Amino acid sequence: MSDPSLLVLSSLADGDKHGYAMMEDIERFSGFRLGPGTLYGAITRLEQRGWIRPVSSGDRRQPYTLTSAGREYLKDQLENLGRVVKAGLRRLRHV
Amino acid sequence: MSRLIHFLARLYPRSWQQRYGVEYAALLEDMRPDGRTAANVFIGALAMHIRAWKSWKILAASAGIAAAVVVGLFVAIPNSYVSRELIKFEWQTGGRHRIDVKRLRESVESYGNLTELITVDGLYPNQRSRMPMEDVVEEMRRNIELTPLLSAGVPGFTIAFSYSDPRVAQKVTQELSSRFLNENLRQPQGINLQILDPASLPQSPFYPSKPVIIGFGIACFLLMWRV
Repeated sequence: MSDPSLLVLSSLADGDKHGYAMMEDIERFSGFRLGPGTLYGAITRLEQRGWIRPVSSGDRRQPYTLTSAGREYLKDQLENLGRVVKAGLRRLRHV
Repeated sequence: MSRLIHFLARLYPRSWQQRYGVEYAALLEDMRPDGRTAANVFIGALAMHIRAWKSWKILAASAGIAAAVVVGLFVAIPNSYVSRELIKFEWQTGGRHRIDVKRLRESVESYGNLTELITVDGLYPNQRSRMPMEDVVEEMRRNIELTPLLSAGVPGFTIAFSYSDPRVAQKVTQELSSRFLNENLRQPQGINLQILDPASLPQSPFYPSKPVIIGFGIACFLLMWRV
């Protein structure tokens, strides 16, 4: 799974994070290192779709949080992905 | 490198910078400034501009790039014209002889014969300036086609020669054909060969194929537009 939007949403699923914290977290749990351009491309898209929003902070490092619509979307996507993973593994075992 | 990255970050659209510029600068300060980061920032800025474009701008840019690709290919790929001559066998009465086309071909396409044609007709001037004669002769052999007429109901074959100049293609096809006829006469059981259709003067290039290049351009356009 290397879709930047899904990685950002997954990173925010356990709490608010700013850009650099998301990059570190994503690398830790997925092995993918998103570049700054890729990360902020995803953040821009997700904010426009209403799936994440900025939270107030006195720092220049702007944290983001998942909206309820974003949480719902992430849940759907991960469930779909889970079904694909399950089916793929089952078929591999039968070969 | 750090200054380059901050310069590249300023390439993002103005409206995007107003919204995300401060936090993006803070993120870049936290990162290791290397070539990979710089490339990613540049691609991100480019992608953000494209995202900000209206659909007609994307359409126009895609069409412009596709048109440039098509024109570039037409300019970069030299034209190749094919001239063909149709030669018919005439079986003599009282016997059934086999014409040894392979042997005729080997004789006509011999190194000596083709070197003479290349020199006298001034063929392949560019290749001759940078390649040994053996390679030029080999290229000429690849441009000569001898095709038996198996399905046309006529016992015979076509000789074809492709070249960048249509008149030269025609002239060389005529010369190759006359050498075939002369060589056949020298054979002990020579068969009557008759020119049924003299070497044509090609009107349009055989290669590059216009439909293929235009199709490639349309594919480029659709790919860029959809992506």
